[in-house]
Amino acid sequence: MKEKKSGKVGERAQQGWIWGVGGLLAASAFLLYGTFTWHPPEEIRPLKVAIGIWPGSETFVYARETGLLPREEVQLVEMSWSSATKVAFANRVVDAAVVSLDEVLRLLESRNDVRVVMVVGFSQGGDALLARTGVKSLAELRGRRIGAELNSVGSFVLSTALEDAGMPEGSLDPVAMNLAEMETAYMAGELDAVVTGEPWTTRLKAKGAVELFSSRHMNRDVCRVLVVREEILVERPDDIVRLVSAHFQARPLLQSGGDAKALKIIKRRLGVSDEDYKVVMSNMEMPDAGENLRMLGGELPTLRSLANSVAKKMVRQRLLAASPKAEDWMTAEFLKE
Amino acid sequence: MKRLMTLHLLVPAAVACFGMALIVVGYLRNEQQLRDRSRKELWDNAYREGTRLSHIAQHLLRKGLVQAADLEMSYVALSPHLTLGVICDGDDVVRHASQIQWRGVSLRETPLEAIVPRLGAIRKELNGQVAIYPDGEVLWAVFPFFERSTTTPFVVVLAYDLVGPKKESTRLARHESISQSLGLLGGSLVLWMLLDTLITRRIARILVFAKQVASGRSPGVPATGADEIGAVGQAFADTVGQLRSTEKQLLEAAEQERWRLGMDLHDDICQRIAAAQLKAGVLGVSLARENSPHSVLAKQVAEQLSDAADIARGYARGLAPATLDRDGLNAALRDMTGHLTKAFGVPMHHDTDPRVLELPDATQVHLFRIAQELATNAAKHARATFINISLTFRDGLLELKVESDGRRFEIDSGPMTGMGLQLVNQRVRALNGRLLFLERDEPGGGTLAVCEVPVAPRLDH
Repeated sequence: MKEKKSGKVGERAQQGWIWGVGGLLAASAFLLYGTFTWHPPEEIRPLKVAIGIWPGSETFVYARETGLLPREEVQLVEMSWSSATKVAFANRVVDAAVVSLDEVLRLLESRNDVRVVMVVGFSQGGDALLARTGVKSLAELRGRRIGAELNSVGSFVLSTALEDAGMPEGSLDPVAMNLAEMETAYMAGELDAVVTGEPWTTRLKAKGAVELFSSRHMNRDVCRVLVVREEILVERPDDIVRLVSAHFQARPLLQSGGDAKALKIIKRRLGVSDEDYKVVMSNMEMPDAGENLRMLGGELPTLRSLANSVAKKMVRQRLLAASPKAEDWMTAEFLKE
Repeated sequence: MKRLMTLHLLVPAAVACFGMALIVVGYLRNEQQLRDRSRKELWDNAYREGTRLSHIAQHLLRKGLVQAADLEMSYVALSPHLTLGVICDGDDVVRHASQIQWRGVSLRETPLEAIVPRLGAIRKELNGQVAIYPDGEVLWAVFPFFERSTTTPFVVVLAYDLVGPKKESTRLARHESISQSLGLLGGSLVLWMLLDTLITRRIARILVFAKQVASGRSPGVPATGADEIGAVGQAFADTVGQLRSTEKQLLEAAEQERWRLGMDLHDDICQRIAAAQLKAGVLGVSLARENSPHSVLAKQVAEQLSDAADIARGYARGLAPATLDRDGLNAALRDMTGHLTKAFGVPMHHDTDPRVLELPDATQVHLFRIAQELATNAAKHARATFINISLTFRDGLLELKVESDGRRFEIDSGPMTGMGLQLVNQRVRALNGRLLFLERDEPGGGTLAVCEVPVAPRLDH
């Protein structure tokens, strides 16, 4: 027998239940999403990168001037001398900075959020101890006034020069000043010697200063790197990749075949002639992406060995209290060969 | 379209539309407010930085601290949205700049050349200015100061980008509006669900209830709860209950009236016809003895009176089955099947559980009338070759089944939708039972009408 009035009440109730649960889930999802995203979003601001006047970091200026680094995405905070970048970075005023390896080791004494993402360049004579014409050795400067950036790469070069000459600390009378001031003070006769870096090394040599010691005698110890705060690596990895990539694109062009207008701007910034520009660039070695990968990546990054060696010297020279214990202060994550 | 014009769609849709209108208005207002606020902040910042830098630069340059002034300009670059900041000497040559490349260059050769025509007036008035031009894209802060060695004032020039903050305001406003829209959509969905659960479904149940009431069923309370719809549902159910009670009373009154008419017909009219028939017969015999030609007429009168008596008795039996009152439902059904078999020529059988006699009289009357109506209809309309009537107890129910072959019963059309079925349904309701019409799957077709009536448990065993 078939029942003629086949009731559909149960079927309708089930459909209603499915709709109800589905609707509730959809509504909840929308409400949750709306609630979580209700807060005003973070303001989009450019990545702030501090650079000093140093030929190796001019790749970033070149990239900015040629459009490789859009101004609205990366803002270069230009300091008049290199050590100022370390201060700006240490105070979290900028997101990234180009600093020397010895400065990284000093930063690691008090900070654990420093990450080296790229080796920008090695000084091969660019950082030097210069004295007046006629001075033949460091010993002749005993007790004389020598300008140096203390708590920076200058003090490391000075200590190494003294160590190399077999002179004890305190043999000279160091005067703390920044690189930009040094040239004026030296020319004004206020200093007998200076520990300086490019482009002032080439500029002072052109004005008659003689080199008593330089980074050429320090293997690769004077090295400048790009450091980034750890939180920025997490928040803005794409911007860091873009920054690193722009550096490697600009690197070969900075030495030859680059955009004339951009190169003119760089020479104006460095305050050097065309000839001096070639000298400045020859006093520096800029590793490419492949070498960077070897230095920062792998199980035994060579930069770590170099840093350990530099740290040992700095500890011996009493520039550093102890070798840094942190192991994870470098990453090759943002490098692409 | 008609299906969409429902409360539970229209109300949330109206809420969503109204909310969207508010969001659009809010978006426009919010965007303008954010732009104004951003511009005001930039304006204040430009004034503050310009004033500060001009005073600091004046102090540093008078003391010959050129490098310190350079460093100040380096940090100016950190100001949000600053395009370029410079300090120019009296000949409009850049001495210090946030971008070192412009040092030593004429201001006319820098991106700030647009301000050069205005510098003369500013230097003359010796008042710092913050202004927006051209086309509202750049905010300028120009503050003059005197450096020791020159007679023409130096100027601090700061240029801020206004396009970026404008885009940022739009982005922020859009983001907030999207968030609000999602919240509104979620809220509308929740409202839709609430309306669906709290109102629409309950109203739909009341509607179904009303339709069931109209078709003769009493499905219970359509909506419960302490709110207005619950009260409506309860009032509706109470009204239907009262209606059913009145209907039952009417049925009983009608039954009593039928019974009285039947009894009157049987006890009075039938007796009078019988007396008249008797007298007509005697008259016929007398006239025949006298060889009167009227004796034939008297005989015909007697015969017609006999027929009339049979018809009146049939009516009386239909209106007040004496056997039901005297011998109970079983005997009444036997009497009824015998009468209908004779009347319609369709074989009828009945199988009745003897415990039906324990049912209340009113129940027996209703069951008899239901069986009588269903069997009569099957005999009249189904062209049946047999009709079986059974009364059995099962699972707390008394089942009255009327089974016949022949034409199937159509619930939606035909004579059963008429007064007869309505009366049957009224009786079923009076018994709190239900009536089903099932199709017979067996050869010959036909219909099985089942009337289920709840009974006291003792009768079930």
